[in-house]
Amino acid sequence: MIAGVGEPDWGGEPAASEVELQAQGAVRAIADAGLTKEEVDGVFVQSTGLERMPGLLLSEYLGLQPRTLDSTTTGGTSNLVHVIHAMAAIEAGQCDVALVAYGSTQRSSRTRGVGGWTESPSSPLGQFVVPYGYLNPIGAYAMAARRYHHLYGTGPEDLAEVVISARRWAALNPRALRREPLSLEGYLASPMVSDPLRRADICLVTDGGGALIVSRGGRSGAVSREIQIMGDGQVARGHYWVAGLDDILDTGAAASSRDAYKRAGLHPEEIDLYQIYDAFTIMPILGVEDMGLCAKGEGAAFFAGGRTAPGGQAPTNTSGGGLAYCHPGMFGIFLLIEAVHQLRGEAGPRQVEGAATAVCQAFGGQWSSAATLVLGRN
Amino acid sequence: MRPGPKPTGVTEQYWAAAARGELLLQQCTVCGGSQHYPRLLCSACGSGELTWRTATGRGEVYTYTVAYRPASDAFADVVPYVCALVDLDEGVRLLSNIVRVDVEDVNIGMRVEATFDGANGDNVVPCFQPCATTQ
Repeated sequence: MIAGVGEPDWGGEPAASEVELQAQGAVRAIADAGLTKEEVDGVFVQSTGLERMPGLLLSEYLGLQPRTLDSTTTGGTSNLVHVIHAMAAIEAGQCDVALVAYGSTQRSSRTRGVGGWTESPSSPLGQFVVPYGYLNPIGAYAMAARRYHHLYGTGPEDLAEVVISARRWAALNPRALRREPLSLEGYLASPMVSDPLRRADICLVTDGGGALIVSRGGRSGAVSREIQIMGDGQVARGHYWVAGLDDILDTGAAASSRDAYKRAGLHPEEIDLYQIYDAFTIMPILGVEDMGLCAKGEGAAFFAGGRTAPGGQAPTNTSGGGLAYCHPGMFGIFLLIEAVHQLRGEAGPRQVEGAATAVCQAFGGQWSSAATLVLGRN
Repeated sequence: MRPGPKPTGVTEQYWAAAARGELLLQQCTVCGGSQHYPRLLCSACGSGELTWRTATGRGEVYTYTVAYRPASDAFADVVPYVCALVDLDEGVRLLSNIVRVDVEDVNIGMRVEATFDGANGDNVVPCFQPCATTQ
Protein backbone atom coordinates (compact mmCIF):
# COMPACT_ATOMS: atom_id res chain seq x y z
CA MET A 1 0.00 0.00 0.00
CA ILE A 2 0.93 3.62 -0.40
CA ALA A 3 -0.28 4.90 2.97
CA GLY A 4 0.69 8.55 2.72
CA VAL A 5 2.21 11.18 0.46
CA GLY A 6 3.73 14.61 0.99
CA GLU A 7 5.59 17.36 -0.80
CA PRO A 8 7.70 20.20 0.56
CA ASP A 9 6.90 23.84 -0.05
CA TRP A 10 8.29 25.46 -3.16
CA GLY A 11 11.45 27.25 -2.21
CA GLY A 12 11.88 30.92 -1.56
CA GLU A 13 15.15 32.62 -0.78
CA PRO A 14 17.41 31.40 0.61
CA ALA A 15 16.89 28.03 -1.04
CA ALA A 16 16.26 24.90 1.03
CA SER A 17 18.91 22.17 1.12
CA GLU A 18 18.28 18.73 -0.33
CA VAL A 19 17.80 17.10 3.05
CA GLU A 20 15.37 19.84 4.10
CA LEU A 21 13.27 19.16 1.00
CA GLN A 22 13.34 15.42 1.67
CA ALA A 23 12.54 15.91 5.34
CA GLN A 24 9.62 18.29 4.82
CA GLY A 25 8.07 15.90 2.31
CA ALA A 26 8.72 12.99 4.68
CA VAL A 27 7.12 14.69 7.69
CA ARG A 28 4.02 15.43 5.62
CA ALA A 29 3.84 11.91 4.18
CA ILE A 30 4.17 10.37 7.66
CA ALA A 31 1.38 12.62 8.97
CA ASP A 32 -0.74 11.92 5.88
CA ALA A 33 -0.44 8.20 6.66
CA GLY A 34 -1.51 8.77 10.26
CA LEU A 35 1.82 7.43 11.50
CA THR A 36 4.60 8.74 13.69
CA LYS A 37 8.24 8.87 12.72
CA GLU A 38 9.05 6.26 15.35
CA GLU A 39 7.17 3.74 13.22
CA VAL A 40 9.37 4.34 10.14
CA ASP A 41 11.97 1.58 9.99
CA GLY A 42 12.99 1.68 6.32
CA VAL A 43 14.44 4.64 4.40
CA PHE A 44 14.67 4.74 0.62
CA VAL A 45 15.95 8.10 -0.54
CA GLN A 46 17.68 9.76 -3.45
CA SER A 47 18.83 13.19 -4.50
CA THR A 48 20.58 14.30 -7.65
CA GLY A 49 23.91 13.65 -6.12
CA LEU A 50 25.08 16.43 -3.86
CA GLU A 51 24.72 14.16 -0.86
CA ARG A 52 27.13 11.27 -0.66
CA MET A 53 25.10 9.15 1.78
CA PRO A 54 21.56 10.46 1.54
CA GLY A 55 19.97 7.64 3.56
CA LEU A 56 22.23 8.20 6.51
CA LEU A 57 21.80 11.96 6.38
CA LEU A 58 18.00 11.89 6.15
CA SER A 59 17.86 9.39 9.00
CA GLU A 60 19.99 11.63 11.18
CA TYR A 61 17.98 14.71 10.22
CA LEU A 62 14.64 13.11 11.08
CA GLY A 63 15.93 11.18 14.08
CA LEU A 64 15.23 7.76 12.59
CA GLN A 65 16.91 4.44 13.33
CA PRO A 66 15.96 2.49 10.20
CA ARG A 67 16.55 -1.22 9.92
CA THR A 68 17.14 -0.93 6.17
CA LEU A 69 18.39 1.79 3.82
CA ASP A 70 18.49 2.01 0.02
CA SER A 71 19.64 4.75 -2.34
CA THR A 72 19.68 2.79 -5.58
CA THR A 73 20.33 5.10 -8.51
CA THR A 74 18.68 4.29 -11.83
CA GLY A 75 18.03 7.83 -13.03
CA GLY A 76 14.42 8.84 -13.45
CA THR A 77 13.12 5.44 -12.41
CA SER A 78 14.86 5.61 -9.02
CA ASN A 79 11.79 6.58 -6.99
CA LEU A 80 9.67 3.80 -8.50
CA VAL A 81 12.50 1.32 -8.04
CA HIS A 82 12.68 2.40 -4.38
CA VAL A 83 8.98 1.60 -3.99
CA ILE A 84 9.55 -1.82 -5.55
CA HIS A 85 12.55 -2.39 -3.26
CA ALA A 86 10.48 -1.22 -0.27
CA MET A 87 7.76 -3.75 -1.12
CA ALA A 88 10.40 -6.48 -1.30
CA ALA A 89 11.97 -5.37 1.99
CA ILE A 90 8.58 -5.46 3.71
CA GLU A 91 7.91 -8.89 2.23
CA ALA A 92 11.32 -10.09 3.46
CA GLY A 93 10.74 -8.75 6.97
CA GLN A 94 13.48 -6.13 6.70
CA CYS A 95 11.10 -3.30 7.57
CA ASP A 96 7.41 -2.61 8.15
CA VAL A 97 7.01 1.07 7.31
CA ALA A 98 9.15 2.38 4.47
CA LEU A 99 9.75 6.04 3.81
CA VAL A 100 10.48 6.72 0.12
CA ALA A 101 11.81 10.24 -0.30
CA TYR A 102 13.39 12.47 -2.89
CA GLY A 103 14.79 15.96 -2.83
CA SER A 104 16.99 17.95 -5.15
CA THR A 105 18.40 21.45 -5.35
CA GLN A 106 19.60 21.07 -8.92
CA ARG A 107 18.35 24.52 -9.89
CA SER A 108 19.53 26.63 -6.99
CA SER A 109 22.84 24.80 -6.67
CA ARG A 110 23.37 24.95 -10.45
CA THR A 111 24.51 21.35 -10.68
CA ARG A 112 22.95 20.97 -14.07
CA GLY A 113 23.14 23.02 -17.24
CA VAL A 114 21.91 22.42 -20.76
CA GLY A 115 25.00 20.33 -21.43
CA GLY A 116 24.35 17.97 -18.55
CA TRP A 117 26.45 16.96 -15.59
CA THR A 118 30.20 17.15 -15.36
CA GLU A 119 31.79 13.82 -16.28
CA SER A 120 35.20 12.55 -15.25
CA PRO A 121 37.39 12.93 -18.38
CA SER A 122 38.64 9.33 -18.02
CA SER A 123 35.14 7.80 -17.72
CA PRO A 124 33.51 6.26 -20.80
CA LEU A 125 31.30 9.33 -21.20
CA GLY A 126 34.21 11.67 -20.51
CA GLN A 127 36.24 10.05 -23.28
CA PHE A 128 33.65 9.13 -25.89
CA VAL A 129 30.77 11.56 -25.42
CA VAL A 130 31.89 14.82 -23.84
CA PRO A 131 34.45 15.60 -26.61
CA TYR A 132 31.56 15.75 -29.10
CA GLY A 133 29.52 18.43 -27.37
CA TYR A 134 26.53 16.19 -26.95
CA LEU A 135 23.82 17.72 -24.79
CA ASN A 136 23.32 15.04 -22.16
CA PRO A 137 20.59 13.79 -21.97
CA ILE A 138 18.71 16.21 -24.26
CA GLY A 139 20.64 14.90 -27.27
CA ALA A 140 19.48 11.32 -26.72
CA TYR A 141 15.82 12.24 -26.82
CA ALA A 142 16.37 14.65 -29.70
CA MET A 143 17.94 11.80 -31.68
CA ALA A 144 14.99 9.56 -30.76
CA ALA A 145 12.54 12.23 -31.92
CA ARG A 146 14.50 12.68 -35.14
CA ARG A 147 14.32 8.97 -35.91
CA TYR A 148 10.64 8.86 -34.98
CA HIS A 149 9.88 11.68 -37.41
CA HIS A 150 11.94 9.88 -40.06
CA LEU A 151 10.17 6.53 -39.68
CA TYR A 152 6.61 7.69 -39.09
CA GLY A 153 6.35 11.01 -40.89
CA THR A 154 5.56 12.98 -37.75
CA GLY A 155 6.70 16.52 -37.08
CA PRO A 156 6.79 19.42 -34.66
CA GLU A 157 2.99 19.70 -34.44
CA ASP A 158 2.92 16.16 -33.03
CA LEU A 159 5.43 16.92 -30.29
CA ALA A 160 3.49 20.11 -29.56
CA GLU A 161 0.36 18.16 -28.61
CA VAL A 162 2.15 16.63 -25.63
CA VAL A 163 3.21 19.91 -24.06
CA ILE A 164 -0.04 21.70 -24.93
CA SER A 165 -1.89 18.94 -23.04
CA ALA A 166 0.53 19.20 -20.11
CA ARG A 167 0.03 22.96 -19.87
CA ARG A 168 -3.75 22.53 -19.84
CA TRP A 169 -3.45 20.21 -16.85
CA ALA A 170 -0.99 22.54 -15.16
CA ALA A 171 -3.46 25.40 -15.49
CA LEU A 172 -5.73 23.38 -13.17
CA ASN A 173 -2.94 22.66 -10.66
CA PRO A 174 -2.24 25.57 -8.28
CA ARG A 175 1.18 24.09 -7.43
CA ALA A 176 2.30 23.84 -11.05
CA LEU A 177 5.21 26.09 -11.92
CA ARG A 178 4.36 26.69 -15.60
CA ARG A 179 0.64 27.31 -15.78
CA GLU A 180 0.29 29.65 -18.76
CA PRO A 181 -1.42 28.01 -21.75
CA LEU A 182 0.59 27.16 -24.84
CA SER A 183 -0.72 27.36 -28.40
CA LEU A 184 0.72 25.61 -31.44
CA GLU A 185 1.96 29.01 -32.62
CA GLY A 186 3.63 29.55 -29.26
CA TYR A 187 5.21 26.12 -29.49
CA LEU A 188 6.57 26.76 -32.98
CA ALA A 189 8.03 30.07 -31.80
CA SER A 190 9.94 28.30 -29.03
CA PRO A 191 13.68 28.35 -29.78
CA MET A 192 15.37 25.20 -31.01
CA VAL A 193 17.75 23.65 -28.47
CA SER A 194 18.69 20.29 -29.95
CA ASP A 195 16.81 19.88 -33.21
CA PRO A 196 14.05 18.66 -33.34
CA LEU A 197 13.57 19.46 -29.63
CA ARG A 198 12.73 23.05 -28.76
CA ARG A 199 12.76 24.77 -25.42
CA ALA A 200 9.05 23.89 -25.06
CA ASP A 201 9.78 20.16 -25.53
CA ILE A 202 12.09 20.11 -22.52
CA CYS A 203 11.10 19.79 -18.88
CA LEU A 204 11.47 22.46 -16.25
CA VAL A 205 14.65 22.53 -14.18
CA THR A 206 13.56 23.15 -10.59
CA ASP A 207 14.33 22.36 -6.99
CA GLY A 208 11.81 20.21 -5.17
CA GLY A 209 11.06 16.89 -3.60
CA GLY A 210 8.46 14.53 -2.35
CA ALA A 211 7.90 11.52 -0.16
CA LEU A 212 5.55 8.62 0.33
CA ILE A 213 5.01 5.83 2.83
CA VAL A 214 4.91 2.19 1.72
CA SER A 215 3.52 -0.29 4.22
CA ARG A 216 1.30 -3.35 4.41
CA GLY A 217 -1.57 -0.96 5.07
CA GLY A 218 -4.33 -1.19 7.59
CA ARG A 219 -2.19 0.61 10.17
CA SER A 220 -2.95 4.19 9.39
CA GLY A 221 -6.44 4.46 10.79
CA ALA A 222 -7.50 5.74 7.38
CA VAL A 223 -7.71 2.59 5.30
CA SER A 224 -9.93 4.19 2.67
CA ARG A 225 -7.15 6.67 1.89
CA GLU A 226 -4.60 3.92 1.32
CA ILE A 227 -3.76 3.19 -2.28
CA GLN A 228 -3.06 -0.32 -3.38
CA ILE A 229 0.08 -1.14 -5.36
CA MET A 230 -1.57 -3.58 -7.73
CA GLY A 231 1.36 -4.43 -9.94
CA ASP A 232 5.00 -3.60 -10.49
CA GLY A 233 7.63 -4.15 -13.12
CA GLN A 234 11.15 -2.94 -13.72
CA VAL A 235 13.88 -3.62 -16.21
CA ALA A 236 17.52 -2.59 -16.60
CA ARG A 237 18.47 -2.67 -20.24
CA GLY A 238 22.19 -3.40 -20.13
CA HIS A 239 23.25 -0.05 -21.58
CA TYR A 240 24.20 3.15 -19.81
CA TRP A 241 23.73 5.69 -22.52
CA VAL A 242 21.94 5.63 -25.79
CA ALA A 243 24.66 4.48 -28.18
CA GLY A 244 24.45 1.08 -26.51
CA LEU A 245 20.77 0.57 -27.41
CA ASP A 246 19.97 -1.17 -30.71
CA ASP A 247 16.67 0.63 -31.32
CA ILE A 248 16.52 4.20 -30.03
CA LEU A 249 12.70 4.04 -30.11
CA ASP A 250 12.61 1.08 -27.69
CA THR A 251 11.95 2.59 -24.27
CA GLY A 252 11.99 -0.58 -22.18
CA ALA A 253 8.43 0.09 -21.03
CA ALA A 254 7.13 -2.92 -22.97
CA ALA A 255 8.84 -5.28 -20.53
CA SER A 256 8.26 -3.32 -17.33
CA SER A 257 4.60 -2.58 -18.05
CA ARG A 258 3.88 -6.14 -19.16
CA ASP A 259 4.99 -7.43 -15.77
CA ALA A 260 3.04 -4.73 -13.92
CA TYR A 261 -0.21 -5.38 -15.82
CA LYS A 262 0.14 -9.12 -15.31
CA ARG A 263 0.56 -8.75 -11.56
CA ALA A 264 -2.32 -6.26 -11.44
CA GLY A 265 -4.56 -8.50 -13.52
CA LEU A 266 -5.44 -5.55 -15.75
CA HIS A 267 -5.15 -4.78 -19.43
CA PRO A 268 -3.70 -1.34 -20.18
CA GLU A 269 -6.89 -0.07 -21.80
CA GLU A 270 -8.79 -0.81 -18.59
CA ILE A 271 -6.69 1.68 -16.60
CA ASP A 272 -8.27 5.08 -15.94
CA LEU A 273 -5.31 7.45 -16.12
CA TYR A 274 -1.67 7.54 -17.08
CA GLN A 275 1.30 9.20 -15.41
CA ILE A 276 4.21 8.88 -17.85
CA TYR A 277 7.62 10.41 -17.32
CA ASP A 278 7.83 13.44 -19.62
CA ALA A 279 11.24 15.02 -19.33
CA PHE A 280 10.89 15.51 -23.10
CA THR A 281 7.78 15.44 -25.27
CA ILE A 282 8.99 12.40 -27.19
CA MET A 283 9.10 10.29 -24.00
CA PRO A 284 5.36 9.82 -23.40
CA ILE A 285 4.76 9.44 -27.15
CA LEU A 286 7.06 6.43 -27.22
CA GLY A 287 5.88 5.47 -23.75
CA VAL A 288 2.24 4.93 -24.67
CA GLU A 289 3.34 2.73 -27.56
CA ASP A 290 5.50 0.47 -25.42
CA MET A 291 2.90 0.48 -22.63
CA GLY A 292 0.51 -1.20 -25.03
CA LEU A 293 -1.88 1.74 -25.31
CA CYS A 294 -1.41 1.96 -29.07
CA ALA A 295 0.70 0.45 -31.82
CA LYS A 296 4.28 1.47 -32.62
CA GLY A 297 4.14 4.66 -34.64
CA GLU A 298 0.74 5.69 -33.28
CA GLY A 299 1.97 7.37 -30.10
CA ALA A 300 1.78 10.84 -31.60
CA ALA A 301 -1.86 10.25 -32.58
CA PHE A 302 -2.58 9.16 -28.99
CA PHE A 303 -1.92 12.75 -27.89
CA ALA A 304 -3.69 14.43 -30.81
CA GLY A 305 -6.84 16.47 -30.51
CA GLY A 306 -6.76 16.85 -26.74
CA ARG A 307 -7.31 13.13 -26.02
CA THR A 308 -4.87 13.28 -23.10
CA ALA A 309 -5.88 16.76 -21.88
CA PRO A 310 -8.56 17.67 -19.30
CA GLY A 311 -11.88 16.20 -20.41
CA GLY A 312 -10.17 13.85 -22.88
CA GLN A 313 -10.67 10.11 -22.96
CA ALA A 314 -7.06 9.29 -22.00
CA PRO A 315 -6.10 11.62 -19.13
CA THR A 316 -2.31 11.72 -18.98
CA ASN A 317 0.11 13.56 -16.73
CA THR A 318 -2.67 15.25 -14.81
CA SER A 319 -0.34 17.30 -12.60
CA GLY A 320 1.16 19.03 -15.63
CA GLY A 321 4.08 16.58 -15.60
CA GLY A 322 7.74 17.38 -15.82
CA LEU A 323 6.96 19.72 -18.70
CA ALA A 324 4.76 22.04 -16.64
CA TYR A 325 4.44 20.98 -12.97
CA CYS A 326 8.06 20.78 -11.82
CA HIS A 327 11.17 18.74 -12.54
CA PRO A 328 13.81 18.57 -9.83
CA GLY A 329 15.97 15.98 -11.62
CA MET A 330 13.84 12.91 -11.03
CA PHE A 331 10.09 13.05 -11.61
CA GLY A 332 9.09 9.53 -10.58
CA ILE A 333 7.99 10.51 -7.08
CA PHE A 334 5.58 13.06 -8.59
CA LEU A 335 4.06 10.47 -10.95
CA LEU A 336 3.18 8.43 -7.87
CA ILE A 337 2.01 11.32 -5.67
CA GLU A 338 -0.29 12.64 -8.40
CA ALA A 339 -1.74 9.18 -9.00
CA VAL A 340 -2.46 8.87 -5.27
CA HIS A 341 -4.23 12.25 -5.20
CA GLN A 342 -6.33 11.28 -8.22
CA LEU A 343 -7.25 7.85 -6.85
CA ARG A 344 -8.25 9.38 -3.51
CA GLY A 345 -10.43 11.88 -5.37
CA GLU A 346 -8.61 14.85 -3.85
CA ALA A 347 -7.15 16.41 -7.01
CA GLY A 348 -9.49 19.39 -7.00
CA PRO A 349 -10.09 21.13 -10.35
CA ARG A 350 -8.02 18.57 -12.22
CA GLN A 351 -9.76 15.53 -10.69
CA VAL A 352 -10.49 12.76 -13.19
CA GLU A 353 -14.00 11.70 -12.23
CA GLY A 354 -14.28 8.13 -11.06
CA ALA A 355 -10.58 7.34 -11.38
CA ALA A 356 -10.07 3.93 -9.76
CA THR A 357 -6.82 2.76 -11.35
CA ALA A 358 -3.68 4.49 -12.59
CA VAL A 359 -0.44 3.45 -14.19
CA CYS A 360 2.83 5.23 -13.47
CA GLN A 361 5.59 4.73 -16.03
CA ALA A 362 9.10 6.00 -15.44
CA PHE A 363 12.23 5.99 -17.57
CA GLY A 364 15.80 6.25 -16.30
CA GLY A 365 19.10 7.09 -17.91
CA GLN A 366 18.58 7.08 -21.66
CA TRP A 367 15.99 4.33 -21.99
CA SER A 368 18.47 2.46 -19.74
CA SER A 369 15.96 1.60 -17.03
CA ALA A 370 12.18 1.38 -17.07
CA ALA A 371 9.78 0.92 -14.16
CA THR A 372 6.01 0.62 -14.01
CA LEU A 373 3.59 0.67 -11.09
CA VAL A 374 -0.14 0.08 -11.38
CA LEU A 375 -2.05 1.68 -8.51
CA GLY A 376 -5.67 1.32 -7.49
CA ARG A 377 -8.21 2.43 -4.94
CA ASN A 378 -8.22 0.19 -1.90
CA MET B 1 39.02 24.08 -27.52
CA ARG B 2 37.25 20.74 -27.78
CA PRO B 3 37.37 19.05 -24.36
CA GLY B 4 39.91 16.27 -24.56
CA PRO B 5 39.56 12.73 -23.30
CA LYS B 6 41.81 11.47 -20.53
CA PRO B 7 42.92 8.05 -21.81
CA THR B 8 43.30 5.07 -19.51
CA GLY B 9 45.55 2.05 -19.98
CA VAL B 10 42.69 0.35 -21.83
CA THR B 11 41.98 3.25 -24.19
CA GLU B 12 45.36 4.90 -24.76
CA GLN B 13 46.02 3.01 -28.01
CA TYR B 14 42.66 4.12 -29.37
CA TRP B 15 43.47 7.75 -28.74
CA ALA B 16 47.05 7.44 -29.96
CA ALA B 17 45.67 6.01 -33.21
CA ALA B 18 43.11 8.79 -33.51
CA ALA B 19 45.90 11.34 -33.18
CA ARG B 20 47.59 9.82 -36.25
CA GLY B 21 44.33 9.63 -38.22
CA GLU B 22 43.28 6.06 -37.59
CA LEU B 23 40.05 4.71 -36.12
CA LEU B 24 40.64 1.56 -34.08
CA LEU B 25 38.08 -0.95 -32.89
CA GLN B 26 38.56 -3.78 -30.47
CA GLN B 27 37.92 -7.19 -31.96
CA CYS B 28 37.27 -10.28 -29.84
CA THR B 29 39.44 -13.25 -30.82
CA VAL B 30 36.89 -15.66 -29.33
CA CYS B 31 33.51 -14.55 -30.70
CA GLY B 32 34.81 -12.34 -33.48
CA GLY B 33 32.70 -9.33 -32.53
CA SER B 34 33.89 -5.76 -32.68
CA GLN B 35 33.15 -3.19 -30.02
CA HIS B 36 33.27 0.51 -29.32
CA TYR B 37 34.22 1.96 -26.85
CA PRO B 38 37.34 -0.06 -25.87
CA ARG B 39 36.94 -2.16 -22.72
CA LEU B 40 38.78 -4.65 -20.56
CA LEU B 41 36.67 -7.47 -21.95
CA CYS B 42 34.34 -8.31 -24.81
CA SER B 43 30.93 -7.11 -23.69
CA ALA B 44 29.29 -9.76 -25.89
CA CYS B 45 31.04 -12.96 -24.75
CA GLY B 46 33.12 -11.85 -21.78
CA SER B 47 36.46 -12.85 -23.24
CA GLY B 48 39.48 -10.76 -22.35
CA GLU B 49 41.24 -11.80 -25.57
CA LEU B 50 40.89 -8.63 -27.59
CA THR B 51 42.93 -7.30 -30.47
CA TRP B 52 42.86 -3.98 -32.28
CA ARG B 53 41.68 -3.65 -35.86
CA THR B 54 41.67 -0.59 -38.04
CA ALA B 55 38.15 0.34 -39.03
CA THR B 56 37.27 1.30 -42.57
CA GLY B 57 35.93 4.51 -41.06
CA ARG B 58 32.85 4.24 -43.25
CA GLY B 59 29.30 3.94 -42.08
CA GLU B 60 25.93 5.62 -42.08
CA VAL B 61 23.98 8.02 -39.91
CA TYR B 62 21.53 6.10 -37.69
CA THR B 63 20.08 9.29 -36.23
CA TYR B 64 21.31 12.75 -35.31
CA THR B 65 20.50 16.04 -33.67
CA VAL B 66 21.61 19.58 -34.40
CA ALA B 67 22.72 21.36 -31.25
CA TYR B 68 21.73 25.03 -31.27
CA ARG B 69 22.87 25.46 -27.69
CA PRO B 70 26.47 24.57 -26.90
CA ALA B 71 27.08 21.76 -24.43
CA SER B 72 29.77 23.93 -22.83
CA ASP B 73 31.68 27.09 -23.56
CA ALA B 74 34.07 24.99 -25.65
CA PHE B 75 31.34 24.63 -28.29
CA ALA B 76 29.99 28.18 -28.20
CA ASP B 77 31.77 29.13 -31.42
CA VAL B 78 30.65 26.12 -33.44
CA VAL B 79 26.85 26.11 -32.98
CA PRO B 80 24.87 24.84 -34.73
CA TYR B 81 26.70 21.50 -34.88
CA VAL B 82 25.66 17.94 -35.53
CA CYS B 83 25.88 15.09 -33.02
CA ALA B 84 25.07 11.76 -34.62
CA LEU B 85 25.00 8.07 -33.90
CA VAL B 86 27.00 6.49 -36.71
CA ASP B 87 26.67 2.80 -37.57
CA LEU B 88 30.06 1.71 -38.86
CA ASP B 89 30.19 -0.92 -41.57
CA GLU B 90 31.92 -3.15 -39.00
CA GLY B 91 28.64 -3.28 -37.09
CA VAL B 92 29.36 -0.98 -34.18
CA ARG B 93 27.62 2.26 -33.28
CA LEU B 94 29.36 5.34 -31.93
CA LEU B 95 28.59 8.95 -31.20
CA SER B 96 30.41 11.57 -33.21
CA ASN B 97 30.07 14.88 -35.00
CA ILE B 98 29.24 15.20 -38.67
CA VAL B 99 31.49 17.96 -39.95
CA ARG B 100 32.15 19.79 -43.24
CA VAL B 101 28.49 19.73 -44.14
CA ASP B 102 25.62 22.19 -43.87
CA VAL B 103 23.58 21.05 -40.89
CA GLU B 104 20.47 21.16 -43.08
CA ASP B 105 21.98 18.59 -45.43
CA VAL B 106 22.50 15.81 -42.86
CA ASN B 107 20.07 12.93 -43.18
CA ILE B 108 19.36 9.60 -41.55
CA GLY B 109 20.97 6.94 -43.71
CA MET B 110 23.59 9.33 -45.10
CA ARG B 111 26.89 7.60 -45.90
CA VAL B 112 29.78 9.08 -43.94
CA GLU B 113 33.52 8.51 -43.54
CA ALA B 114 35.91 9.24 -40.71
CA THR B 115 37.93 12.42 -40.61
CA PHE B 116 40.36 13.38 -37.91
CA ASP B 117 41.22 17.04 -37.98
CA GLY B 118 39.33 18.44 -35.02
CA ALA B 119 37.56 21.74 -35.31
CA ASN B 120 40.29 23.63 -33.50
CA GLY B 121 43.30 21.61 -34.49
CA ASP B 122 43.76 20.17 -31.02
CA ASN B 123 42.35 17.23 -29.10
CA VAL B 124 41.86 15.22 -32.28
CA VAL B 125 38.87 12.92 -32.07
CA PRO B 126 37.30 10.77 -34.78
CA CYS B 127 34.62 12.75 -36.60
CA PHE B 128 32.70 12.01 -39.78
CA GLN B 129 31.98 13.79 -43.03
CA PRO B 130 29.78 12.87 -45.99
CA CYS B 131 31.40 10.26 -48.21
CA ALA B 132 32.96 11.78 -51.29
CA THR B 133 31.38 9.08 -53.46
CA THR B 134 28.73 6.45 -52.94
CA GLN B 135 30.30 3.37 -51.45
